[in-house]
Amino acid sequence: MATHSRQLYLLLTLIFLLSHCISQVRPKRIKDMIYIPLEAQNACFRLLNATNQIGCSSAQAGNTGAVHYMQTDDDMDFVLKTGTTNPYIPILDAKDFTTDKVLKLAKSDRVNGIVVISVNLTTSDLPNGFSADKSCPNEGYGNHQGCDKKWNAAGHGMLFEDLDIPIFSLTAQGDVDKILTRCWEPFNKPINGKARTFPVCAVQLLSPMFAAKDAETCIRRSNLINDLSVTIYCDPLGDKNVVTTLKAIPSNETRPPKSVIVVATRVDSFSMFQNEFPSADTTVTGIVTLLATAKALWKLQDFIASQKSSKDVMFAFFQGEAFDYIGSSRMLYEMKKNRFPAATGGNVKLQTIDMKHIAQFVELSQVGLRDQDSLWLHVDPKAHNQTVDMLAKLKKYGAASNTTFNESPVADSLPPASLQTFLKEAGDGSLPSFVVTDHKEAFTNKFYNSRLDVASSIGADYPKDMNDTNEQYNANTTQSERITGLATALAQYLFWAATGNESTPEELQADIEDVNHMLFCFLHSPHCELFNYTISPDNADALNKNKQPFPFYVTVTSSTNQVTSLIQRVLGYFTGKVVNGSADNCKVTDSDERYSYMWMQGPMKTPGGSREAVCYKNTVKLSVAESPAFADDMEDYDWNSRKYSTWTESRWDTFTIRVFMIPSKQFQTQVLSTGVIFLVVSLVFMYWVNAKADILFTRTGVSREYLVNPADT
Amino acid sequence: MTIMEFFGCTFIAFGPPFAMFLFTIARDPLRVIVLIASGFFWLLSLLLSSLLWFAVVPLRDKLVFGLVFSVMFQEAFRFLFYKLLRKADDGLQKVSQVTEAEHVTPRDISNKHIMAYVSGLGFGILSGAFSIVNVLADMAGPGTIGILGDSPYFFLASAFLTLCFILLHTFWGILFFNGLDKKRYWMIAYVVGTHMLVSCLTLLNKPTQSQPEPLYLASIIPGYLVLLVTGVLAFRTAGGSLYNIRAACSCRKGRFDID
Amino acid sequence: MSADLLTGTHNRPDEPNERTSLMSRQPSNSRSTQLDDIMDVTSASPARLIEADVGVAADDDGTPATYDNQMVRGDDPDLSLNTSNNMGQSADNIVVEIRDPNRQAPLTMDAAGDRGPVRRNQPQQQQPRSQQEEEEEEEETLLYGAKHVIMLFIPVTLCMAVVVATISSISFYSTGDTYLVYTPFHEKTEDTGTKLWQSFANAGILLGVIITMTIVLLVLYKYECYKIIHGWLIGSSVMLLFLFSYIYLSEVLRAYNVPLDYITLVILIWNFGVVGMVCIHWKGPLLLQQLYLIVISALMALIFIKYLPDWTLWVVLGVMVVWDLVAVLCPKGPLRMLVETASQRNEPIFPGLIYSSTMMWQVAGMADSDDKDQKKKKGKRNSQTSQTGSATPSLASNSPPSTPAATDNNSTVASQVIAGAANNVTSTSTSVDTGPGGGAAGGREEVDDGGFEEHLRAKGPRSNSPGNALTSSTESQQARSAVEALNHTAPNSSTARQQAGSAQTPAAQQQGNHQQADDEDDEERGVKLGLGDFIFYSVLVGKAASNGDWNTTLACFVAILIGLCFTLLLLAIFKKALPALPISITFGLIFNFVTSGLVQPFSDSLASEQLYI
Repeated sequence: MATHSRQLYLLLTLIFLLSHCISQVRPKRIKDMIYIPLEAQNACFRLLNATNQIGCSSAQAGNTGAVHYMQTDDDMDFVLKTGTTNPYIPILDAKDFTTDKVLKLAKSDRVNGIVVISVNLTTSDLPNGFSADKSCPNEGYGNHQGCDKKWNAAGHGMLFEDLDIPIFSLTAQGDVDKILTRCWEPFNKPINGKARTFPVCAVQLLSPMFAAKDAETCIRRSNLINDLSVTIYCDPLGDKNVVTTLKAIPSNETRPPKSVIVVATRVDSFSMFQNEFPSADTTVTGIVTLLATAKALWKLQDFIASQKSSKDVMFAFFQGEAFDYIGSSRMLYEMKKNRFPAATGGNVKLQTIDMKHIAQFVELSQVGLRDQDSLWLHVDPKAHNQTVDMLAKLKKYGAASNTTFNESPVADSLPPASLQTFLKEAGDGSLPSFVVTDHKEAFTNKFYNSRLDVASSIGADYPKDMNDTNEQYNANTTQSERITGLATALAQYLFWAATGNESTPEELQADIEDVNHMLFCFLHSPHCELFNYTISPDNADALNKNKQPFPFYVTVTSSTNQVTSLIQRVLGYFTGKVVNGSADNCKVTDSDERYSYMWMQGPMKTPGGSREAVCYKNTVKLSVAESPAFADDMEDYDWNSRKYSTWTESRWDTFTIRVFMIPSKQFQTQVLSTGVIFLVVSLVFMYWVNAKADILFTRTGVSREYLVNPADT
Repeated sequence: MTIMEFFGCTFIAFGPPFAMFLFTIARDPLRVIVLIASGFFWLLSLLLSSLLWFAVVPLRDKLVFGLVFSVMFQEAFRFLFYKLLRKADDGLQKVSQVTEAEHVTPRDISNKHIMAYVSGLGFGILSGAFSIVNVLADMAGPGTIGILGDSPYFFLASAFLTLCFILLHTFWGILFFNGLDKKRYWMIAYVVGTHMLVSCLTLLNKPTQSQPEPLYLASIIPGYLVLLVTGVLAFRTAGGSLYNIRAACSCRKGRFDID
Repeated sequence: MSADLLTGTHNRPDEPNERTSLMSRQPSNSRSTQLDDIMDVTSASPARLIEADVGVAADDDGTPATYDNQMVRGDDPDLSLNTSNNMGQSADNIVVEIRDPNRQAPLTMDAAGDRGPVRRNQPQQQQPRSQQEEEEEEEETLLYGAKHVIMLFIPVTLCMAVVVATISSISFYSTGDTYLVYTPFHEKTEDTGTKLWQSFANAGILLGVIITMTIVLLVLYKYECYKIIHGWLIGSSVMLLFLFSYIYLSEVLRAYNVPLDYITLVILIWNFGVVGMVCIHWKGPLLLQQLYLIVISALMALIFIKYLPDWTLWVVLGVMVVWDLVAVLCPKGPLRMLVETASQRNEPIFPGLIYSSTMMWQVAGMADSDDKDQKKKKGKRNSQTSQTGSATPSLASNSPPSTPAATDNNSTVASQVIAGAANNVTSTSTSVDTGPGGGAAGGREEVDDGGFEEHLRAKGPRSNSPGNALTSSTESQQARSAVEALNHTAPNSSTARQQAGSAQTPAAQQQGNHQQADDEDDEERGVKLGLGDFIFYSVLVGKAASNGDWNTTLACFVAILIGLCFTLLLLAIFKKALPALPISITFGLIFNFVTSGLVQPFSDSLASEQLYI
């Protein structure tokens, strides 16, 4: 027995190894002769809020339709009316991907899905812009209700339509070739005006979404334990806010009221398609400016901190603002619960900040595309009189660093901004505050919250002849110069606001080098020196793997976005002090949790050589940015009170897109009927043969065994 | 959706074999077992040939090599199965002798034909299944073949060829066994020859540069001709004749009234 | 008489002793039971004697087939003894094939009212052909073993079909991310070596659990904690029938995106589960019971496929093969001990653990009244005994012998399996495999060497030694024909003198007997296969199907069926209980890997170039 078993084990092991080494050799199955898969993973997905679902979803088994490349209006007519090989899946160029066209197609039951070609996008394709957002972003969640003012003129809220067809975006040239040159041209393209007939080439879009109806429903279903395995249908949108305070006031000291200046900007944007979330003007300009400002201001941090009377300055980078102010509303919620900044149980904490502590609120919105070459200061009309001298100061400092500020007409309501959340909380006119933007009336950014909001649109791109990344990394651009000026002015303003003292531009000059680097890293390639310096050695590989700029979409709460953690690291690098420590003791040791410690890869010893990791001590913290509606301690939130954001993202399994041929109905019917005929005839025939076997195969001495008999054709 | 195509091809390829199984095999346990056993033997032959094909790395892309050898292997295993079956028959004989010796002979003879038929069908069904089941599985999806320039009749041709081979195997089984029993070695030669012939004819299915459109008819028509001839041979071998057919047809009516 | 009844054991194969113990079985059992048993035993016995006579009468003057029916009953004492032993102790991974005399062929035709495989090949022979009648029976004899093989093929195929269909249509069962606690290593690495040792470690752990569970079972049984065992089994069967079927249903609905309200769902599941419990644990139509057993095995197999890491599952299959061999064939295997205890107590170990192709209590419905209340009594008694733990199979022997045993049998199969599902899948599933496995081993041996003696003796004059190795069917034919011979001779000697009585047997009684005979006859012709086999066969095929290659699936299927044939063949050769897993699973494993490794590339490239071989 034992020997037997040993042999068996040996056998098994052998088989394992055999199968393993063989399994590499996989010949092509018929499947590979039928389908050409595309790499594209950029599909429109589904979001849900308290009241309804938006975005796209394919059927469970995917949507199939004949490929038709839309070039003229005739094509539109062909697809919607005359074409005979329906249903169709039209292929759109980026310039044709406009809300009205898409809606027109999506409404038709002859259209099963849409594919849009997004290869080498140029904003010139869309003269009057494109924005997936509504014309009044975050309408109804700020302190100003109603949509009397169309801030986002280019936006027709395409994303906020519930298009229940799948939409894919092709960003790889290879995919475009496959679908156009191998599918459309040989099989479907009309030959001198004559439309093709079956068999035609079709494309299948597979992006089925798990969640349906609305956030409440899908959350409830996700919480149902109706199975051994819990199925999640949707997750709340959210991430982390990055905050740092200039004066790290410990919990044992008091923080006088009206003693904190909040400088905020927003981090996230969105667009129609997964993986395509650039947001050059929408947020990057603000982020970079604020980071540069922080670095500039920290030059005088010791001085400010030493002043007993001086105000504290809090830098805040809000996540999820694009979806009804998730980050800011959560921060306020935490403040009200007196939990901000969050304590993690050290002896010495950071003194909590509350609404009443906030002296003034300065927000940087889009600052890239200056209207009339000037920045515009939007003030809450009710608090206008309190902000007069503030604005004057800012203009003054701006002039010093050739940055023009102008006040937008007082009557106007505020543009969409995190400030609105705070104003809603603070009550009328009690919070001196203004928003710095690049637009006087409507957005100058025609590609607000869209996949076309790219570096080139804000003049942060490089001359055509400049291809060396190092060169680009250090190159000054018009945008970087502007941002530097703004940052310097803002730093000076903040210094004044904090201490009441004047300062010279030289003291608080923002470093244009840093601005260049940040613009390059955020907009062109994350694989850059700045990020490599600041990132922790563990994540270095992950960082250097991807060549594309990181997406600025907020995503779901489960994990922290790369953008968020990069902002955190860079801010920590700009505002922190090097302390000597090693990888394992570069953390809160003395239980003084006002400070956080970041273990960074540090500078390269020799150019291109190995790095020398360093430990930075700073006050940068992450605070949760999940909508209060989903907070653990939120009891029976009324989903229909539009108090907090309720956005959730549906889960999905895979995005698949593949092209193949589809036969005509007639052919299929013929094949099927032939098969059925074969079956029936042979059944009858065999029954007959079987019944007649004894007659059919009579022979001398034959027994009844001949009942069954071979010959049967 | 090409689900209709899928069912069509399935019925074409497996309709007749299914009918044969239903009416002639399924009712008789012994036959079912023999059917599966012969299928197993075919499996072994395929295993051996694929092993050879796999082992001889340089010729791995030359499928004709694998094809020729697998035909040989199949016939070899048909012979082995014949041997096995005859042993079994001896056993059956003995057991039947236990009680009533006089009935042994005719049943034995008849068994031989029946078993030949059954084992032939077993070979056929399994070979047919192995040659088309994955094709069918891939077929059920939304797409049909052709985007790489394959003929739109690919599936149809596969189905018909599969059917052809299933039936051919059945008849080959009868001829082969009978040939061995009656020492009519031309039958065996015929079986091996036609098998090799028809298999090699399917080489024409592969489109070449000179011949982009595969010559399905060039393999299907001869295949079915051979099938016809083999069928007639097998029919006669099994004791059928034109007269019998006429007889069967003539008395059909009356019979049906009885049934 | 009863004195030597007590001494009369099955272990001693010497002819006279065997006879007596056989003929007078019923009184002998009453030793352990109360008055009413004896009462209805005695009430039952005369009929049987008469049956015997008729049988003999029929036998002697070469009879038309109609009389053969009664003749059968001449034999059933010893047969039913075999039955009661085997049924009780047959393991789920033991094929117990209870052989029967040739002459029962026509009987099946009558009795086979609802037995697919058996019934099917009758019609042609239905037409009375006086000359060919004998030949018919011969044919039956030849086909007999085959028939039983088919009786196994059909359910096994059904079970596999369910699993394969599920695997290939519902991704839930083919994609595993959560694993059992018994498999701590989840084979996340790519490194083959690591995967290999991890899978072996997992399998080892599983085997450990299995062994411990078997020992626990053994202990429980040794100390006659029947209540614990049964409670455990029933509880877990509830779990499988309700919870797992519910999960299955919900996954199917999810896979096809079908909405279903909870009320309907509850109603469905409740009905399904309750009917299942009734059929498996108590009584119900045979077909329904069989279906439930198949479904349960399929569910179990699916659970295995989902919750075991890939390689672990393969290794587990291999380990099961080895463990099966060891447990059943090793002289000191735990099961052996289990069995010996059982045979000492002369009672079924855990009744069941097997799929049975035979008519069970189903006949109760048809049987005439006194038959019915016999059954009722027996039912009561059985329940008592099963509680007191002194159940002797022969208690049940006056009307269809070992009927309740059989019923319990299946129940335990089911619930054992379920237990597996419920608390710790693998562990109990082996108590499925093992426990009774040994049981059968023991049981078979006793009965069989008895039978074997006869066999030789019967064979002797016929100048036909069973020695020469033949194919499955043949061999089993021989064995069977041998037993047949024995059965001819036996009643002759014992009851020839009472032929006269047979003449005026009242028709009514004839009828009743006829019924009974059918029952017993069915019992005897029954084939039994453990659910464990169903499960592991299905696991293998299902796993093969999960990589989307139908050739591999097909190959595994054929290989397993062939393995089953071989097992039956060996059974016929060795006359000794054999585990049903080793051959089939080994074949299956080999063919799975070889096919997916070698054959698939070949046949795929053939298919893609449309070459036909």
